[in-house]
Amino acid sequence: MLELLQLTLDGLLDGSAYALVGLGLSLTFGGLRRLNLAYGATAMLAAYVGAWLHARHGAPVWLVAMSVVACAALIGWYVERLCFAGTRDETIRPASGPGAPVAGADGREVVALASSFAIWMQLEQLAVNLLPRHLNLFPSLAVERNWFVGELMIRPDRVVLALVSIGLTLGLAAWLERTRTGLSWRATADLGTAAHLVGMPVPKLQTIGFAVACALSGIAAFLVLSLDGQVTPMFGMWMLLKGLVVAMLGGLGSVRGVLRGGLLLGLVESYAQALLGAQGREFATYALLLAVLMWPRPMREERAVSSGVTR
Amino acid sequence: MTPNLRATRLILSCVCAVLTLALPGQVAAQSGSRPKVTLQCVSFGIGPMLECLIDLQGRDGTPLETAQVTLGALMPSMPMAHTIRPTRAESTGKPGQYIGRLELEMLGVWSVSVDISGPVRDKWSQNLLVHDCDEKARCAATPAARGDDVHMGRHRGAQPGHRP
Amino acid sequence: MSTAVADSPIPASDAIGAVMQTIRNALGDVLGLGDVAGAHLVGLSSDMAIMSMLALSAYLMLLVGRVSFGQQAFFGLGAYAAGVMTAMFHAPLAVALAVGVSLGALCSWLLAVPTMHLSGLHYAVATLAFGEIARILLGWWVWQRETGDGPVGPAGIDGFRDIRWLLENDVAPSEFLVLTLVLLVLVLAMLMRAERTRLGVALRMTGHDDVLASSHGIPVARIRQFAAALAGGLAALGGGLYAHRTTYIEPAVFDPMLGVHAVGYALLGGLGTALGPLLGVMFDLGLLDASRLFPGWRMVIFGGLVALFLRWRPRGLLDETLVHRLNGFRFFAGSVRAASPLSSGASNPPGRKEISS
Repeated sequence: MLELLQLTLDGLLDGSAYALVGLGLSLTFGGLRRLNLAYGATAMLAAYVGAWLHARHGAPVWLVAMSVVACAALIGWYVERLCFAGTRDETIRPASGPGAPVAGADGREVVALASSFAIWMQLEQLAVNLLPRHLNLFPSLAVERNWFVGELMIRPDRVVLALVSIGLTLGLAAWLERTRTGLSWRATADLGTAAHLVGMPVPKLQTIGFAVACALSGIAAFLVLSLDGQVTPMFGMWMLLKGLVVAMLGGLGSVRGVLRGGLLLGLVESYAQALLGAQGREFATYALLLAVLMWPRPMREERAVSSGVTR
Repeated sequence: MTPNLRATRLILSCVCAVLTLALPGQVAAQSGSRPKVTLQCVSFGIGPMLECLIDLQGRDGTPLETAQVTLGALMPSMPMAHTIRPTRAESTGKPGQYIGRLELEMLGVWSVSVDISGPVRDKWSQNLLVHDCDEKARCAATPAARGDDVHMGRHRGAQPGHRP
Repeated sequence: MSTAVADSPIPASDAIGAVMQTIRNALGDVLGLGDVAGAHLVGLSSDMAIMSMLALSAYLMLLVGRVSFGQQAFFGLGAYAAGVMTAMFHAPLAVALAVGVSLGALCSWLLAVPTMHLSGLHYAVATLAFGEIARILLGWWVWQRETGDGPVGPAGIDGFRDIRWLLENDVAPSEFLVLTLVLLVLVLAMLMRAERTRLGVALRMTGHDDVLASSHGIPVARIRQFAAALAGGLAALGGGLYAHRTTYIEPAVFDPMLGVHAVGYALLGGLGTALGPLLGVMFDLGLLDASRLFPGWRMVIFGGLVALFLRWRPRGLLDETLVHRLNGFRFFAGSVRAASPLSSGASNPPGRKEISS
């Protein structure tokens, strides 16, 4: 019983971190209706820049944090320009029809999906070129002590991470709902043409939204890596896959859904690791993703494709 | 000749070639006489360069001389990229010992392969973790343990205490 | 050799064996075998041929309008299956490859059936997830058999060593290259012939616009499942050949980057013809990688090019328009000699060439 509680607690703590990881990906989808496969690589390259600053130039932690976030936003801008900008305006270049690589009813998403994977490759190589080692030091904010609540073991730094990510997620949901800027962003996501007609600069808003989502990924990367104290070339794939699972679980575009998805993933992983070991944990992640995708739920797909950013 | 007949002949001749190569060969399997290979590698410099010492011994323990040894390497995680030019390993003078150098592209886990022709024909490989070395030093490349290539495992480091 | 052929009827295998020996000698002279550079070239060509099969399997899925990042799973499945057959059951290579191909086709079809109704985006993510699941399952699979030299067989995460069929049967790397090339040519011939048939047209129609295709009576879901099965078999063939070439495979080899590269090759080289993915492979493995002109920048250049192409030339280099023009040009050049413009079933009557260009 105690073991179960411990597993649940660990799962929930991990899951909150996953929610933060999936937030940026879900937002890019909600805002542009495109899946950004270069998401993990963006965060990884930004993290590598931070690690490089820390290792080679001894930069303090706050500078590393700021640089990671700024780099992520910058790289996000680059990705958006290269991959998604061209597909945004349908009147200039038809996304479906003879020009598109995969045409048909869902041609639009797949076009942008396909080119972002190419940038994924590019960014991964750039990161590895910057720091060729396998293990690179990252400024560590980890606290090695354990707190004890009764018999349960908790690490305080992970609690802080969980609180930060939950706070950020809920704060973002509230911002989207309550503020004018959030409303304008939702408008461009949901009804781009109508927003354009009332005079909103839709392309600029979408670019800014994308960059902000990537900045969020930078925040997530920094927080996760600062607890680990190191970054490896596998980080990009890890971030992308975890983010994908969480975003798909919660419904692409829904911010609170990301939180629910993250917590669910954390719990499933925790139990799977107890039952099947470290490999079982990874297996459970992907099996969960596949199960969610294959589950016959036509309403989910419709909602994911047609609605923009929701709370 | 009509295109159809030409195409049919081409396809038939290809099938014949394939079948020939796929038939069990006449040469007896050499499973009992595989040489024993010991590989020791050190990395140094920028690149890095990998220098490997190979010890070949026959089944009965006698060192294998006059073998043609070729060294190659590939990255297990991206097999057909990072092509490293294979190099010939030269005999060091000591019977059964050969030395060769490989120019690698990256640090990390590499699958170093030893191709032997000459008296026997065999191919042997080992996963080695190539470390980053200081300027003038030479670091031994250690056999890669499973945790080194943190791909399948959780990205985060081991949690203290309760987590396996 | 020539007198023996003239004298008495020779059994077919001896004659073919003699032919193969001649080819091997010729290749030895041309490529300078025994020379390390020659061996390197042979190895590189084998790699390119094997990778082309994987790229062709991604191309098949793109042809029917689906992006699949999971083809490396069938590549791995084929590799393990073929390796198990030759190393543990001492089957001939043809049998082992056939088993691998069937297994790959079956598993691909089994995955395709419940996922074909998904939108393209979800399908791509599903294949990515499946690729990883397959890799983890291969990392769990341990099945060893004792032989004279120790245990042989898949050892889970430590990989599968000693797939030595080529070594034990004294197949030189050049002979293996010939085998791989022959198989590749067969696959290409099959695919290019199929383009002219109703099946090929149906495949392309499904990829172009599935709603329009189904309104023409084409069973879109079945066509896609068929294409998936074919793609899985093709990837498995490449995997079987790969396992025997390197004699050692491990699950880490079949990671998503391999599948992503396969899709990249198909998209860059062109979706208009089966030769397109080959062009992509030769560009990346040949020009970018083996030439050592861009050490350490290969994926940056390749990824950037793919993204640029997708923006301005979405069907790749050899897209349908270019292929159509090339066919028309060939036909046009031939029609100067040929009497009747309809003799070889050409698609482009000579009059149209002037108008379109």
